Amino acid sequence: MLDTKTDNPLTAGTNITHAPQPCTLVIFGGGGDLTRRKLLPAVYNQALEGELPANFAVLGLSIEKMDDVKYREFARKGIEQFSRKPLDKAFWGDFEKRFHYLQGSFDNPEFYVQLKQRLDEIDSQFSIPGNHVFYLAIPPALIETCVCQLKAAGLVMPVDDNSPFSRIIVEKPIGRDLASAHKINATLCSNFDEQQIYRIDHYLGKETVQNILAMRFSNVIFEPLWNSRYIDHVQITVAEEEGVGTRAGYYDTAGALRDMIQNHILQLLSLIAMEPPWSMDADVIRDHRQNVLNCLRAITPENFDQHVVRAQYGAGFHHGEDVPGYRREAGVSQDSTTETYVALKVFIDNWRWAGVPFYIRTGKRMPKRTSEIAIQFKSVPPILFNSNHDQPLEPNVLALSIQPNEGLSLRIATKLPGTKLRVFPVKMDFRYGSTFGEQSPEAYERLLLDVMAGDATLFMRRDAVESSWAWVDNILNIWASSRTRWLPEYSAGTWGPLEADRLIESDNRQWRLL
Amino acid sequence: MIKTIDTPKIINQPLKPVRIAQIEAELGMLWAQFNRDSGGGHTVMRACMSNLIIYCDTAEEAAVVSQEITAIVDVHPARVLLLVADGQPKEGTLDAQITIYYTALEDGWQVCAERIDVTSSLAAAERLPSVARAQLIGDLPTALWWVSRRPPPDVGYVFFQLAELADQIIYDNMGWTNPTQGISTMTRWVAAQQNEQVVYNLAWRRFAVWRKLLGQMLDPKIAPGALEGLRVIEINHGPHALPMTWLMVGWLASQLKWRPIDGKRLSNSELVWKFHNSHHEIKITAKRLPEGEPLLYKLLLDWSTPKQDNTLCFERLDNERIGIVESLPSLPARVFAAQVPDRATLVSAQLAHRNRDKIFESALKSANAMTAVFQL
Repeated sequence: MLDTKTDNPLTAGTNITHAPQPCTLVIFGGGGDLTRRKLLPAVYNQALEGELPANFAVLGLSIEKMDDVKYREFARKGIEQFSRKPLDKAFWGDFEKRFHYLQGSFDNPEFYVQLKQRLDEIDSQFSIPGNHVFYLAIPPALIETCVCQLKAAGLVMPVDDNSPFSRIIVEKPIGRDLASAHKINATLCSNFDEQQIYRIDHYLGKETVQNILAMRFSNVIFEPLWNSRYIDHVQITVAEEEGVGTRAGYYDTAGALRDMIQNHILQLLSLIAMEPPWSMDADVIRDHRQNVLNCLRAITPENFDQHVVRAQYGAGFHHGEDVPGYRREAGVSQDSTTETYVALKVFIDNWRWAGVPFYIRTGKRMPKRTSEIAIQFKSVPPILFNSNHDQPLEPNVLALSIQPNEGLSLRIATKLPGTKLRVFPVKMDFRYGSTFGEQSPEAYERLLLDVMAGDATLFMRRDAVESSWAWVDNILNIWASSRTRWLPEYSAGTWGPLEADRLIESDNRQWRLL
Repeated sequence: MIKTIDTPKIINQPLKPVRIAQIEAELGMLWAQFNRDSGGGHTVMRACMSNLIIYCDTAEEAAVVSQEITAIVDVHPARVLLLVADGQPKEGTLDAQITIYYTALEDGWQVCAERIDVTSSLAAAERLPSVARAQLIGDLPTALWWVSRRPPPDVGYVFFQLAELADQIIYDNMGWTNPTQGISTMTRWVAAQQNEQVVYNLAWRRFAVWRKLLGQMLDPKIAPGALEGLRVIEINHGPHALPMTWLMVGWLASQLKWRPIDGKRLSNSELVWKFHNSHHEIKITAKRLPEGEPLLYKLLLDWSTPKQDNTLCFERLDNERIGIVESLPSLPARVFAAQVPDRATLVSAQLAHRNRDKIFESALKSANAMTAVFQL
């Protein structure tokens, strides 16, 4: 029996379970860099592709003095500069009317009274049934204030089928160690239900990262090999070309371990190593990712030097140009011991991965910007084609490229044509951009739509954040107790310090040349 | 004009005439030649996701399709078999030509399509399926894109033979000369498929943006009472868009459980249908505009609730946008991105969908029920 009072048969067949719902996107830090470069262009691109809900609006919040007109100008400039689709003036002429602005101080309770009033007006104007997504694009120190004030102002609705939804998106870093992460999470969870909290890690919105699950669990050929019997080791590389740039203030208090490993890289690791989930339900997938984090072998003072290398970039050349060393960068203390490079050897102590090392490296001022996960399979036995000990066959490698070119490649051995029996490695490449000829959406586009649709699969749960910090804290504590005054250096524009080479070469392996 | 895709990065070689029996060997030679010519030791790879059989009745249709293949294979790499039933072979009854499409990568080349054109005289059209059968790449899904303006089952043997090879059949009812009869024929044929094949009308994808907008704007949370209170709908469409309009009305009727009770032609350019839901009658008129593209241009909806009468009117503003032009007092006039998709985009998007669309099939059944009450 059709009940059109509550059901909507006209949306049947339109993937209703994953359809973004009408809502107002409220951006704390609406005048900031993240908003200008990523969030507003993401909203615009999805609007152009017809993916946004028809009833949708944006409300930017910031201390800066602006009105709606100026905010629309701010948004337009950001879109012109950073959007993957060019600004369509005819479309923008109307679409900009959905952008609104409210100036105020986030610690002032009166501001939240105004916010509530403004939201009521916008919701009424755009027929939005009171659904709000609050995006905290603000420094971590302000999270507690904003969250508590939202709750106090009655802007956080209960989680039930009859109420409009209130969802909150929190950007990394969530804390700088386990204690501070725990404190932020406790604040979030005392004001919002865990179901309403979306801890964003934009790496998880990238096409290749999502393809990890699709590749592993929709192809029968990989999963049987996905274990310690066939895999020799895994390498995860996240290399940045840039130095600290304008982020020196933050970066010098954080370092590569906090900035990259604790969030992005451990999430990638958990996707690569997780057991097959029994459903695509967000919590099932997150449970399975969490199980990997639970199995990470702790790094102790006794095995520390064999598992961890940190370093700082010194002066060098970047694309042929002189660049300064880290301690000479503007905003960085001259005696800083903040690491700009980390290499780790990590083990996952479960049945599947017993004895398989995961080598991780991340750094700034590397020769190029690239992120990749490489699965190196074991060598074939040293007989037949692999009987020449002086020239062993290159093992198979499955490499998942995350940026800049999303795709995957498989290295296989094949016979060279001719009368002689010569085997040569051939790389088979698959790239999203060149194979499909379509631009993949930016990670933020996908993730914003997921929040509007209530799908938390690609977001971090509280336990994942805290487990990651617990594991990383071990390393931080050992570093803190070592009172190091100088870190190993690597020249800017190189692939890292000698110590990192030794870490992997001591196992008779090598870092991949990317 | 409807916008066409510009995909300059794909390059194709001129078509090369070959003997039917030598198609595969000649394609291999094209590959080898290309490998040699590209030089520098770069590898040439092939990306291939599907076989795409395209059937055209005439050389004119084939010439148009020929221009669209680049855009299709850019998104969905495929082996393309372009079959032309009423052409003029230069020798004998069947002609074949081949080419490859490729794109430059940083470290080599990628062949994204192999194209095989087979032209037959009308008398030899029945031989085309045998050529297609021999040229398909195994282990890949096969789609049949029916470009002909005749409803597929009306063509008979050639269609049934080609359909047997395909996992998916894509047709387009735009421009059917007799939509009533065409819908009836297609409905019967689709119903007989018993879940074996995906059958898809490009018109369904063409008005997807309208379906989405209607679904969102008439949602009970946004416009309470609209769905059960609809009484009058007026649709303005361009020339050749009546079959699409018919299908859209069929969709509304199937989803809202309306029963068709009457339908007739009011003039050469205007039709009316009447439906009944469990409470009242719904009247829908479809008016053809004297000129324009084969699109839906305007959709006006009236409904009553105990409190008030309401009107919502959507209008296509241009090829990029649909706007609300008159509306509920609570709804401001506003504009939505709604680019008119070109045919190549529709086909390439559809090639990736491999499940039957039950909502489409329900809409088709309702559209057929509308033909049953229509007074010719």
